Amino acid sequence: MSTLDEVDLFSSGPHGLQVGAWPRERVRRGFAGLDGELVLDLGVRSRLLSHTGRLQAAAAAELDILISEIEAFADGQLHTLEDNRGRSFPRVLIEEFTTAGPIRCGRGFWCDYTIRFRQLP
Amino acid sequence: MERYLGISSVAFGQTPLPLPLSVRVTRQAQLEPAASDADLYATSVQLTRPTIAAEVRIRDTAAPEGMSLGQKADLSFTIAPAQSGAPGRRVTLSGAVLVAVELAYEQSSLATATLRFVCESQDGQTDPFAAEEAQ
Repeated sequence: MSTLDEVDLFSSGPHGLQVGAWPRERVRRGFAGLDGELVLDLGVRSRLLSHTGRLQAAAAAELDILISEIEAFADGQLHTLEDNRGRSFPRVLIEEFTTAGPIRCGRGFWCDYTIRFRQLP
Repeated sequence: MERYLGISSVAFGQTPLPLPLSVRVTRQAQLEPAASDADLYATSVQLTRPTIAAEVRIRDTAAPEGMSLGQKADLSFTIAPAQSGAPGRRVTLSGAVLVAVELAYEQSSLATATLRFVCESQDGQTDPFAAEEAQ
């Protein structure tokens, strides 16, 4: 079960985390008439984590609460994300939380969602 | 337990659909399974909103020839009981939209028509399917 700052936000449905690689930023310089190039390594930059899942509730109002609880963490502050396998990702912030279309009704109410986290090094 | 044998009548709005061979009603939703990245099996089986569809096969082709796709009316049929004295059943599919007509003219057997309908709920909350004891 994933948590954000040890708060259970996602357990109403299945979810998973796709972890991006740490990118390194660099500057490349070339000079006329000279073979080769100069590469300046500027260091590690932030990486993206894509959290996708499904929120489920017996009533639409309950689902609205689940959504607003996640939205409350999109506050520009750094948080600690823990994934289903117990891996911890400190210093993450929510860049974007989107639901895949309107709330759907089948066996109860549900919607699929994606959260884009940015983790700072 | 009531058992039914035979279709007494079928009508699409005011249009009778004579010589019925079969009526098939389907209530179906799309399956949307999902699982967490650590799961081996689906842990969430959700369904989309169901559609109610019907397929009517009749031996008459004259009535379907005059129908056009997109027509909307109540589709109703009555099924007869297997035992004499038992009540029949009347099924109504309200807001049935005609979506397909298939006419089959055979070489040495009677021509048949297959009509397919999908129901529109009046307000999104009311089940288009209703069944009751036939009077």
